[in-house]
Amino acid sequence: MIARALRAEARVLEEQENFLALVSHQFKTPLASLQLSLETMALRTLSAEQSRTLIDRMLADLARMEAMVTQILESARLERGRVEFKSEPLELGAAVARVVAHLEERARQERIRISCDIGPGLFVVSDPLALDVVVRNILENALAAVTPLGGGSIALSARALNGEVELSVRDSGVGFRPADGARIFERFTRLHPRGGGGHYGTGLGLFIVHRLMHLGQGRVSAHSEGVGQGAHFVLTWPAAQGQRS
Amino acid sequence: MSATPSGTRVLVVEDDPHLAAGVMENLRAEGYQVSTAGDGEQALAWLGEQGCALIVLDVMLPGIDGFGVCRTLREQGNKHAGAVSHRARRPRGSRPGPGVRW
Repeated sequence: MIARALRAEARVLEEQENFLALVSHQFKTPLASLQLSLETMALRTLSAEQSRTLIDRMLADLARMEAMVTQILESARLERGRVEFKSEPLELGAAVARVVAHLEERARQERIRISCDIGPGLFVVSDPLALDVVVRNILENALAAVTPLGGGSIALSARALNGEVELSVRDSGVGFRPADGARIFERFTRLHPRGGGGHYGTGLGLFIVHRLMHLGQGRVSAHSEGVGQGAHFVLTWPAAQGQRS
Repeated sequence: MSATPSGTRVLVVEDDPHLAAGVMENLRAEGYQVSTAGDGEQALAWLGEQGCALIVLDVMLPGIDGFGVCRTLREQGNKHAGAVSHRARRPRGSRPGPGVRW
């Protein structure tokens, strides 16, 4: 019994140490990029256009770090179980449209086409914040999977099915080995180290999705035919009463 | 390696687009002729067709990492290019790989 407890504690310590190492390293890249941009501005005479490019680059680096901090805090909150989970009827199409609008500019820059085929009147039971985080993390994961290929597509569709609502997210990205479909939701799993095209995964995004879906009596699964074959994520929520099917 | 930067060819291997652009712009401003590769495979394909005086090589790359690139170049008998690692993560107790200067 004691031995088992000690082993569990050792595992937790090792995980925390890995986490610190991983997170520190994730922060080093945008920090190095920020430093390089600032040093370039300090040491060189630049045109207005060159300065603008560097400023945009630095703002994007800051946004990357902020997104990482948000994920780490969300994950810590979930780990401690300090989550107040509301259950409200929410329109899926509207929630997805808000997230897509937020990510459209980045997708356009990376030559990724996001198509969205979600009719009105599909209501899920979930927490409004959780729904937003889940959809955002799934879409950011898809963007990170497609970006290294220099462009591609992400297709979203939804349907009502047996008292549930199912959201399907297909991307034409890097995919994964079919056997990794479950592991992908574990904490700190990063099937593609360093993500793609400058997107910095912490290995927490899909873990958060998985936890939040379970907290709301929903589920999530991931499928891929293999590396280079794209991926398909399916999220399922309980349908709100009076669902039109 | 040429003593003056003018026209000297450098390959920057870096998967982060911001860092790649920043390093490239600074080297160009010094007069180097710079190309970039986003991963080890791209770098090896590029080096298979053209030569360069210096490779600025990130160690943590998707697919073949920086050490793998150095090893492959050595096995292929490419002794022309020097390689510097520009922001390597150096694990405790580890030593630089073949052909890499920290």
